[in-house]
Amino acid sequence: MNASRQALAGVRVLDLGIYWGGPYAGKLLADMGAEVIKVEGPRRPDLLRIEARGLYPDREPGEHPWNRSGMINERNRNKLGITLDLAKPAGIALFKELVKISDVVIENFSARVMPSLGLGFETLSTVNPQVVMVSVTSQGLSGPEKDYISFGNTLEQTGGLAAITGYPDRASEYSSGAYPDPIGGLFAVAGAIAGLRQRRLTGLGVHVEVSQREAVTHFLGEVILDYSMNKRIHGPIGNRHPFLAPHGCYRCQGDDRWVTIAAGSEEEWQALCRTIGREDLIHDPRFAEVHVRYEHQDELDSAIEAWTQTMDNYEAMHLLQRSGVTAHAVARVSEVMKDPHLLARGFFETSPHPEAGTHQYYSRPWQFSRTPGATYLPAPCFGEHNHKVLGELLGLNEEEVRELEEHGIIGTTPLMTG
Amino acid sequence: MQHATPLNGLKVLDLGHWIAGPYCTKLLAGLGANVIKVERPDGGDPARRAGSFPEDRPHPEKSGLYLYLNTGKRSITLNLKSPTGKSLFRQLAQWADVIVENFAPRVMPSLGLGYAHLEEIKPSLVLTSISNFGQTGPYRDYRGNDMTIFAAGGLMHQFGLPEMPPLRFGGNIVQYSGGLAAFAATLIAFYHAELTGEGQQVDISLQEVLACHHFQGMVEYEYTGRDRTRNRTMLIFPASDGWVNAMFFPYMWNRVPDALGMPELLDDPRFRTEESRIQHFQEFETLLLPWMLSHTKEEIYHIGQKARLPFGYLADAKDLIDSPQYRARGFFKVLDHPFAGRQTYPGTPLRVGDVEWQHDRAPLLGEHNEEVYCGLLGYCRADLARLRQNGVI
Repeated sequence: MNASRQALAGVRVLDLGIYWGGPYAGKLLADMGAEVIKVEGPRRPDLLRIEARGLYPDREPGEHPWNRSGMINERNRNKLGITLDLAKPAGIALFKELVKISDVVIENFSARVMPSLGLGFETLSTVNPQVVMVSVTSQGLSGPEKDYISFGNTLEQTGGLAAITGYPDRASEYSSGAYPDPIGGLFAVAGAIAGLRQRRLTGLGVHVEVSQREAVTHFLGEVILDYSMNKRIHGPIGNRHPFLAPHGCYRCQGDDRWVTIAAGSEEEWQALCRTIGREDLIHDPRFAEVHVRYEHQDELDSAIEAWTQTMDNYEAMHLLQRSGVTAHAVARVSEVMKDPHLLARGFFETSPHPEAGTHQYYSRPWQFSRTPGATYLPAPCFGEHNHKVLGELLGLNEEEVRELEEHGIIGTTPLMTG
Repeated sequence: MQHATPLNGLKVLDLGHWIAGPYCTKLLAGLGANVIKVERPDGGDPARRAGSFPEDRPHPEKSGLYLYLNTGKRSITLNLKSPTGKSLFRQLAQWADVIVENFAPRVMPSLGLGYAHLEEIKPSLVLTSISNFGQTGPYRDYRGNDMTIFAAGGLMHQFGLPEMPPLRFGGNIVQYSGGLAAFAATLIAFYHAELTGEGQQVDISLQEVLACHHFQGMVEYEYTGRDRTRNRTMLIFPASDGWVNAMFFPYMWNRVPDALGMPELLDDPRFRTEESRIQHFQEFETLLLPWMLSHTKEEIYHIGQKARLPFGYLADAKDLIDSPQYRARGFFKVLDHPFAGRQTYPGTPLRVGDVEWQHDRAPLLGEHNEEVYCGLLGYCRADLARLRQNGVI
């Protein structure tokens, strides 16, 4: 790995992130060349090491389950891993020594944690006036609800996304995937780099704050504007579109296989009709123009589904695309991972891990032409680089490191005190 | 006290249209970048026709989508198809540090403005290109929209309910996500360019952005072979005025009965363990319903949260604007606009120290033609009139 070809070479990040948002940001910075050190507590590991949801290789926890957790291994590649007990003065002291020689500290704990550890931004900036601290929070570090507990799904609700998502005439109930978490992570990456530039301009570090709830609402600008202008409140419309038709998800051949189709223009609409062998629909007064089609969507959807149900979803997609119609198969995970387009783009990476084996993972949400990101390290085992980091970066000798192990300040086995 | 903005001095040429490109440059402008938005002379950014409009009366200077996505920018008009237009564009490319575009991949090269061409003009230039499926690959030219790309990224199959079709997110989440990824990536590329003088092209594929955002599905398939599909993850209850998600993890159960004013549930054998709660789930829901219906959704939210339960309420636009948390944070901003009047806009979810988010109103079409073509590029007003007559601007 040629360090000089990496965009963020020379940037050092302390990554206290847990679960998804924080760790995702750390991984992306590491992918682009930053040296990222994942810091966990011997009694406070990243909980995904312990609550791995059964996502071990072949569901086998193995001897050291905390090093075989899939979600950990996916989100923490490229990082060095150390443990430090931040509940002990010795751990805090070592952390501060690391802050002195680092550029960025990322954390996504609930709002009280860092100040209660004595590691709030005021303290960190006395230790290192140039440090950029990035806090990825649920609702910000201020306000009456700042200490509320929110998981990704909760923030979809309180941020306004759930109210416009869902099958029509049902409460917005749907299985989701904590989407606000990676969004918080992307804002954190941007915030870290912006913080570094701010530092260059002013000579001082800065506290960057990301509110995930506000990020959700930020993705709904046009919904807010419609309320501001017209007091209109948007609700769920399923897979329909606010004003275009046809627009929906249609059942195909086989079990639980679907294709999404959207006809945004008159040309697309006519091409769709021809492709599904229903040229008669073009001249049907019920479907003559888009606003009329919109009123007759149920009949439209039946006509389209009569065709899709005879088709393989990928075949339907290719046929429609070749005719100039917007369509895509609803890909299962297994299908995404062998998508010929993603494979041709080199989107997936094969990463070996000393205790979890070699697996395929996604790479990153961008491709750079001159300083491509890369994965050069697996996710760290718990405390894997204690000796390396404390020795090489802080100059501790073997004796000192062993003493820290004996006192439980560092370790390579999680100690859960329940 | 910090006076500088983080992106002070960063010069951005914004060729974006609709959502993904404009959202990226809106964020750059928010942090202080100098953003010039290039719009086609005939009608400008198509988002000007999308609405919403005050009183539902369409007007190209009153479209809510455009107004929101283009705060903090200047607007010039430019016909990129005309030879003079291309020449003007090359002069602007000389000025810019970053160019952002979200055309279909064949467009920039077909205009003679692909990256190979631009890097000759300015080797330190960063070109951020956002598209449905990226700049390369067998499906590069496939059509896509927010729903179909959500499907292509593998998330849609996992969203919804088991007995129902897959479900898309409401709104335009995919395009906003792409704009956000472009924002982060552009900052990294610019960081490198400022340090080394080396520019490059940043290729953002909306499909790939989504494929990075699987909660557990991808690693689940890779590690265990299970191909994840839709399931139930919420505990939605009706409140007196809307809906709440009264979710809690098994280890939190002890706090639930007291919080809901039903302490007797703690001793009820039907609900003692996670398994028994699942078994007697219908009865559980029935017991809770009267309590839920006698409280508002926000009351339930606060009661749950005070007991350290991760309850949520389904907030709509009005709830968001009235939210005490958002008010305390000053999250929403009121901006005045010569045509659309005073409207309420989301502010920023990203705060860099005390730096104030740059939030001037969206520009009128070609509002800054004189400022840019004359002030920046040195043309005189007679030139401007001629360019307009010839359909160049």
